[in-house]
Amino acid sequence: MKEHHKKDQAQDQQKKGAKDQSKAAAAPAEGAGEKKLSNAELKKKAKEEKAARRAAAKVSQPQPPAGSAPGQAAEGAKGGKPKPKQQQDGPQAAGSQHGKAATPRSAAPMPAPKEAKPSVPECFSHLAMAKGVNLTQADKDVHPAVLMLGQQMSTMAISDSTTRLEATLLAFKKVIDSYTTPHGTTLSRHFTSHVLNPQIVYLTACRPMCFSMGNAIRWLKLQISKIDIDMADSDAKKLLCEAIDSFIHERITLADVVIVSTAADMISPDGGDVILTYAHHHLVERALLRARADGKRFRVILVDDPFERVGLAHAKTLAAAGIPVAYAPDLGALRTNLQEATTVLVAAEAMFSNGAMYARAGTCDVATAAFDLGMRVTALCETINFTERVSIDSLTYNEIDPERNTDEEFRLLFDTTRDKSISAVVTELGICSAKSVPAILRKLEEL
Amino acid sequence: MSETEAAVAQQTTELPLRSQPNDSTFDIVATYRDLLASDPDLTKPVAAIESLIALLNTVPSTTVYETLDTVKSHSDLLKASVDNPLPLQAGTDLFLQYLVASLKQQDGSFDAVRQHLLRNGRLFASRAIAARNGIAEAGWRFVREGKCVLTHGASRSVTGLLERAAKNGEGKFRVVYVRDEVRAEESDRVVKELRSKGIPVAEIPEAAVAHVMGLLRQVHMVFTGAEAVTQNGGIISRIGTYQIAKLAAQAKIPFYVAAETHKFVRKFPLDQRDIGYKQEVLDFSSTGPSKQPRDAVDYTPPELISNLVTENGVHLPGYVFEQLLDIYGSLNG
Repeated sequence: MKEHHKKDQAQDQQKKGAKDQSKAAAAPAEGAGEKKLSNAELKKKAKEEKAARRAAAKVSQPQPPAGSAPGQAAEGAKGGKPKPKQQQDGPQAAGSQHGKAATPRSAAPMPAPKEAKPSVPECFSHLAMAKGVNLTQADKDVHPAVLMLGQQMSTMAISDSTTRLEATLLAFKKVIDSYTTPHGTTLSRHFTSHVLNPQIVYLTACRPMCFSMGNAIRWLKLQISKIDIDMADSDAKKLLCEAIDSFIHERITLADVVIVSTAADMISPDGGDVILTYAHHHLVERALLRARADGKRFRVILVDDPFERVGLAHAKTLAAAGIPVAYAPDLGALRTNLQEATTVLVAAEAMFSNGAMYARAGTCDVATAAFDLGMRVTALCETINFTERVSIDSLTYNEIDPERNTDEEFRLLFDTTRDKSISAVVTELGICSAKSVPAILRKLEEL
Repeated sequence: MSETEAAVAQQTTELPLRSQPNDSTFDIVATYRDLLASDPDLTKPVAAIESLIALLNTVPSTTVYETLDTVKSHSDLLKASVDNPLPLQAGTDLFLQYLVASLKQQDGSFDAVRQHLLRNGRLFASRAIAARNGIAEAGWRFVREGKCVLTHGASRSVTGLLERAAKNGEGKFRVVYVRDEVRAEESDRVVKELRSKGIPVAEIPEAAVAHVMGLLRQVHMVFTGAEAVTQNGGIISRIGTYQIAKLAAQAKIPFYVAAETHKFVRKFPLDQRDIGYKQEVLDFSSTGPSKQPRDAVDYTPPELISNLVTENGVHLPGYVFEQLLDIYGSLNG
């Protein structure tokens, strides 16, 4: 793959003239990408940009201002519009301009001009990536709230599994609200296939669905199919919206409360605990703050994700709450940091049924090193993120970092930690060992 | 739920006309100790259940909530009276859950449940003994002809199992018993009991375990009992069990635990630090001999346990979690 790419590049370079030839070996796709945008292409791009802007303006007008923060909304609405290109995001922006490159498994709403992205190595070609779906290319049936959400997801403004799930369900509530059953059919037969599915296809095109969204959508479809065909439209819609509300309440809001308090209780009240955590997750942050509010004294060592420094703000929040925090910007000196710690506290994006934990890339390194040193590794996860699927490596299920998918730098967003490196998984049903995930899944099926 | 319960309890205790159950007249701790002392067949969880039934006997029939509250407060009293509350918690939790479940079934007809409990007061105890026989039935086939079993402690489940195996073929298997010098009397009793069934026993000191396990094919399996089985499938057991389990894992010898399902408890220890109560094993002193706690326990993680032998059959450690989830619905105790 790499060779192939180099060949491409070489040809490109030849076309442009050999002035950069000496740099060619080390340098890259970005140069090539930038060059590709020659006069004709630039013109074409400008045209497309204009069209996108118009479409965005058209779509964002009738949009209800509800949802997330206005700043985010604005950003989301503008998401389709390419930003002025800088050198480094050249190839990627070009990619999004031309629609999808490595096509997602599901059919995209609009047949986009296909173009194999040379920068994704073949061994990762089965993995999907978040990418902005141009608003003009979205299916006409996609609800404005969902359109906005899709843009937020593709720009990673909403990134963690549970937040995405909640936002999705809330957007679907709006879809249900604005729906009227056409004459001659019934809600339970028409809604899923004709209205809900295009939304799902669009969201998946923006960013591959996370496991919790898959679980919740399966649940929602079941609820829809259960609706009595004789029920009045308004009643059915009310019923569905109430069901969604209670689902969010039970599986997310209350679950988080229980998990946070269980995790906070696991911190020793005698003081002296040193908790090492990785990057940022709202569950971990809330658990630590809660423990502090309960009057517990402990220290935190925060190891940050070197690619996305989400831990900085987290460290500041903890420090502001009176928790002594040591901040490590990356995984260097991990063992040294671990030797000072007593417990590792991380949050999972999902749990596989073989007990493996799917979490932010780097979590596996931390957990494995901690396990080797004989420490406790505690993972926090809502049961909605549990999946029946099995994974023993980090490659079967993953996502490509949309910001790092070139020849120069390439990165996956998640990794998989094996069950033996996890001492306990804290869920809203209680603390369990990673091996007990299938037992919980079975229990959830009964409920 | 608990708030309303508390509110109801509050109300009922404040009502001046109601005859109040006087907590001081019934000494649950003494009842528990008497029960344990009088019947050598009782395990700690079952003794706890029996004493709670005895408590219901003395408390006049009042409201459901009040009774649940009394049971809860006496359970706490009982747990506070011993060093290691886990075995008792297994019993009291189970009893409370049983009470609530049967109240739901009976449509809240509390008297019926109460009468049923009192009439069948010894039911739990007899079931516990039946459970031990069940363990022997489920596990004796592990001890085949020519095998050698290493054990320690004084678990009645283990001796029961070995006796059952001996019934099948006297003198066909051998036992290595790890002697506890601190409890020489108990060790001697267990060894004598085993020898009286015609089982050849070799006693070894604790320090010799690794060596004996290293002798080629001299020890084929380890059987121990447990005070409590934790929800991840580990066990809380007499101190020394953990190191035997580690040595067995090192020597690739299967490590079996014989325990009744009523010893399953909703507790998730993460490691040795986390056995659920304060235990001062380390007593640094420059003047005199350091003190050791009586009845010290340790925690054996599920990774070191090959199988749990229960009255419901032989299971992997993960079985405990499924059972507890079935009984309690959720594991937030």
